[in-house]
Amino acid sequence: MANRPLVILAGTWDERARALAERWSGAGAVLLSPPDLSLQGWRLQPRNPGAFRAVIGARWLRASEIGSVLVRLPYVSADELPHIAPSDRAYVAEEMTAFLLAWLTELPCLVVNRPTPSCLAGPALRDEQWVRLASSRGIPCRPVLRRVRLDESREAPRTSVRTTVTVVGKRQLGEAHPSLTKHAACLATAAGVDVLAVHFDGADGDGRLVGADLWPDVDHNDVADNLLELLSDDSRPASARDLRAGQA
Amino acid sequence: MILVWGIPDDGPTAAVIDALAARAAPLVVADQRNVLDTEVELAVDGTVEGTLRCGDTTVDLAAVTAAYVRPYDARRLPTVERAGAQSAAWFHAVSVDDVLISFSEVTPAFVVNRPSAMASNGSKPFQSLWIGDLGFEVPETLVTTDPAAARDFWERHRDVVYKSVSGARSIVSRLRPEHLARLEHVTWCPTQFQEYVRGREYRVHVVGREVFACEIESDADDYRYAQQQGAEVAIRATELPSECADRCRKLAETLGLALAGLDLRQSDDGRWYCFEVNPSPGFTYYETATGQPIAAAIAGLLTEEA
Repeated sequence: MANRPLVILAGTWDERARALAERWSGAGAVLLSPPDLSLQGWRLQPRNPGAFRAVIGARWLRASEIGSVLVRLPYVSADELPHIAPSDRAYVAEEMTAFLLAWLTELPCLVVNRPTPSCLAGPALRDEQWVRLASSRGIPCRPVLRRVRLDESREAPRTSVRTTVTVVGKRQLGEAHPSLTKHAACLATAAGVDVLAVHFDGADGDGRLVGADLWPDVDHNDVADNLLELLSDDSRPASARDLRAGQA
Repeated sequence: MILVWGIPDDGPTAAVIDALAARAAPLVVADQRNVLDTEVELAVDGTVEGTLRCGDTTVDLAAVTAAYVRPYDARRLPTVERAGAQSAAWFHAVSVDDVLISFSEVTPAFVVNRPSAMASNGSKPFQSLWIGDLGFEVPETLVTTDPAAARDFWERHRDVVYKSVSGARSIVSRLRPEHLARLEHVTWCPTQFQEYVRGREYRVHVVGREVFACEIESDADDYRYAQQQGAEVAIRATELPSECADRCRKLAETLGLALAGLDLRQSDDGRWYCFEVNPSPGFTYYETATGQPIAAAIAGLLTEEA
C-alpha cells in the first residue's frame, strides 16, 4: 500500500467500490467499511486531528498519514454489522455514523464529499431541494411534483432523466450542451461539493434540471479516471470544515 | 397560516398549540396520528405550492407562513406498526413523513426548526466543533475503540463520564473503577469518554432572541434520570451573564435553530461549558418547574414571523 493511502469509505456490499479499489490499487486505494470500526485502535479527539488514529487496511494511521478519502457511504446501517448482537445493531450503527461524521469533518486531507449531518457523503437533498437550490441560482428547472395519496400504495416514479452531467472537481463530464455543463458546475458550487451527478430532461440548451445526487456512475472510465486525478492531487487544498451549504 | 405538525398530545407540541390558540393565531394542526388518513401534494420549482389533507383538515401549503414541526417517526405509530413493515400502510406513512420533511426544508415559511438544522445533534463530537468555535468551553473528549486509550484517558482525568456519540438517548454515567475491566468491550463500537466538569448545571432555552435560563441542582450524574438513581432535582429560573446569554443566542443562530435547548455548566473556576444543543427540546419540563413562558415565546415567534 502507498504511504498515504486513498481511502474508499463504502458499504460492505458496494461492488462498485470494490472495483474502484482494484482499479486504483496502484495508487494506494484501500477500502474502509463499517465492520472496520469494530477494530481496536480508533481514536478521535474533537479539535485535535493530530491525535486521531484510524485502523485502515490492517494499519494504524494518523490523520496526516491518510492521502484522501472518497465517501460512498451515506450512513452505517444495522445490516452492515452482523458481528454485533442483533439487539445492539441499530444503536451501534448510529454510534458509528456519528463517529464517522466527526472524523470525516476534521480530517485534514481531501474528503470527497465532506459530510453533512444528514449524510456522510455530502448534502443528500431530495429532488425538490435540488430544484429549489438550482432555481435560486437561475438554473432552469422542471417542477418537481410529489403526490402521496391513499389510493396509491407508493408514490409515482419521478421524471425520467435524459442527460446527466457529472461534476468532478473543476471538470464536468457527459455529453451535454455547454449551458448544461455550466449549470451543473454552478449547482455543485452552490451545494459545496466536489462531486455531483446532475440530471437534466434533455441534452440540448433547453434542458431543464430535474435533480441531482451524490453517486456518480463510477463504472464510466471517464468518471473513475477523473475521480482518481482529483483524489490524488496533493496540491489541492483540502476542504475546510464549514457550516455552509448543506450542513447545519 | 401557522402549521403545527406532530402529535398534539406530545407535551411541547400541546403547549405550543395552546399558546397559539391563546393568541387566536390562524392555526392548523397536522396530527401525525392520522397519517393513514393524510394525503399530500407538493410542487416545487421557483415556488413551493401544494395541498395537505389530514383527516378533515385541508391546508394550502403556499399559505403556510410559519410552522412548528416536531414529528415522530411515523413507522412507530401503533396503527403503522400493527400494519407491519413493508405493508401498504407502512409505505404510505414513510412517504407522508418524507414529503412533509421535504416541505419543511423547501418552504419559504419560517420553520421551527428545519430538519437539516436539527441534524447536527446527531453527533456530539461533530456539534462540539461549533460549540467550541462560538467560545464555549468543551470538556476534553475521547471517542475510541482502543481500551488502552480509554484507560489512559481515565488515568489522566480520574473523573470521567461516558455517553453516546450520537443523538440516541443515553444516561450520562461516571466511569468507576469497577468498569475498567469492561473497557475491552469498547473495541466493538467507538465509545465517547469525557472529563467530568464539576460545577453548576444550567438548561437554557433560546427562542429567537429570547433566552430562558434555569439552574439545576441534583446529585445525580444525569439529572434527567435523577429519580431512577434515587436522587433529587431542583430547578429554578435564573439570569445568565449577558455575555453568556449572547453566546447562547449566537450558537443557536449559527446552527440555524430558532428554538434550542442548551445544556451548560459553569465550572468551579467560572468557565462556561456547553455539552449539547438540543434542536427539539422537551421544554415543558422546565417551563412547569419555573413558570418561564417558553411556549408563549415560541408562539410569539411563529406569529411574528407569519
